[in-house]
Amino acid sequence: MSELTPLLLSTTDDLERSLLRSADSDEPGENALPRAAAALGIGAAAMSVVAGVAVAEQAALGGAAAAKPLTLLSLAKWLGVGVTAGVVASGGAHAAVVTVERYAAFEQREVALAAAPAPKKRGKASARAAETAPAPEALPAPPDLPEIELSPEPAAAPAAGFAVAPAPAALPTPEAAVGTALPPPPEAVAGPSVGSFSIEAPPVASPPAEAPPVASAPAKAPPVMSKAEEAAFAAMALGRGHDGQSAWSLAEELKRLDAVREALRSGRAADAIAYLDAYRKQFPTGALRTEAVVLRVEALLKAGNRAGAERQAEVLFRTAPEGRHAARIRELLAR
Amino acid sequence: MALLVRPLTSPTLDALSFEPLELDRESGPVAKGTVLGKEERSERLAALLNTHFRDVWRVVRRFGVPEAAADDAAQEVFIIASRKLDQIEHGRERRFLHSVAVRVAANARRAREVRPENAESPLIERIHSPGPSPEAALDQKQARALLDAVLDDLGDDLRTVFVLFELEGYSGPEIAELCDIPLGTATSRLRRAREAFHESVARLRLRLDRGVSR
Repeated sequence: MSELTPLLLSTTDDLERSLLRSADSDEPGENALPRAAAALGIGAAAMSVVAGVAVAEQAALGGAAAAKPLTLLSLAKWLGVGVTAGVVASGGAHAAVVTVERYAAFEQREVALAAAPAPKKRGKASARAAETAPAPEALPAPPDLPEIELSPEPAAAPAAGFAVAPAPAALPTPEAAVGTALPPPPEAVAGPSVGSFSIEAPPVASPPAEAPPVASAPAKAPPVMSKAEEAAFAAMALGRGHDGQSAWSLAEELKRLDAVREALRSGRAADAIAYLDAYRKQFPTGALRTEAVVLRVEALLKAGNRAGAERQAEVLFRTAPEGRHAARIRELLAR
Repeated sequence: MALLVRPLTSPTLDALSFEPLELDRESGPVAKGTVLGKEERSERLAALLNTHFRDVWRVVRRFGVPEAAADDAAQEVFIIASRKLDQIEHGRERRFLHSVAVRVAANARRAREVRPENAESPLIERIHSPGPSPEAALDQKQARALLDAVLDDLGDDLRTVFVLFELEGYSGPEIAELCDIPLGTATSRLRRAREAFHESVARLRLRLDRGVSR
């Protein structure tokens, strides 16, 4: 039985997949956790300390961005909470803070790309945007976390920052985003895979002809944000997330990931990665983004980039080490 | 030890009587609670709750506990865990909680007794599917309700194994251990559960298609 592939990954039946996937989005009412805590006699203090760490973890892995658009204010809180948790707790939280930085770098890249011209116009501008972007394997995708419930106690107030969600005034112009970009991190320049980020439009119908090979050289995210990254991150804070929820469509997400699967089946790993990049861009808060991480691991492995695959896996393992997706990734890595 | 695997009538006792992951060999069925200090216990329990409550809640739902009873069932899982806190190995918390959840959900289902026979039909009839593809029009909530209807069709034993393997990512041996059944039983249950799932979804599709053409 352990050799079996879960139906979710093996079935070709869309209805079966829709049903199985729907389980992921189920969650208790917001009062359920506080009530359980009260029933167990756990004080607000204990819950909020843990929740503080949870916020950092969640932020580090994209849970914050997944829920609502970020504002600069909430962003500041977000990072602040990460730092605080890093001080309060020991080693683990330090890693979380580092990951916040890496995630921030990841997000700024997404913004630079989102601001780049559409495919028909892409060329110099998007190429430059791509150059400034770290190699994709270097950065954690925003996976679907076990999304830790936060205590509503006052001490957990920083979490409330995530709920602030004003409509973005305007997206940054492509020129602004690209123009402010500083020289790319060296490893990004070296990585041939950056080109895959120039895929702007849904590539499902027509695979990109120039899908590049995937980088096999290990890449590392810059540990801190450069000025350009900060600018792009700020732009992200203002501009992202507004289309995540409204444009949400399970059927569309399914279609996208099916295209990824099809590419993997026919041995086109580079295409699969390009599709995944496009998916991540269009559905940054997608319901299936954890599954996309699994597919990315598979694609990277197929492309011979084991180091990249392991980095992706590591992010998921740290917060959801025993989930279905983690189990699947382990299986992939063990092959 | 033989006493430990006998089903009891109280949900709590029943769950307590189970030996999740064989952690109780030394300490017996009742947690001693002597290893951790009071504050440590509270912290660990808070961490468990924060990290796993939602997960546990979801799994008891999939095991067939109705939404109205899911909060209580999830809470009970943690109450039981709190009594056995010292025996929960680090890194195996989720598995421990799920093993308790299997028992708690079984009892919650037994307590429920009356299962609405027609739960599936009205739901399917309510689904308004404008396009040629019914599944494309399902929103998450509808899809989930249908999933539960399909899972209801499987029966409790098959359902548990199916949920653990297909939705929670456990392997066969893990499921065998978690449910306290032989591996062969777990394997055959999963096989039968899959068959039943396919059949049930096929029936569902027929009804959905009828709904579309109406």
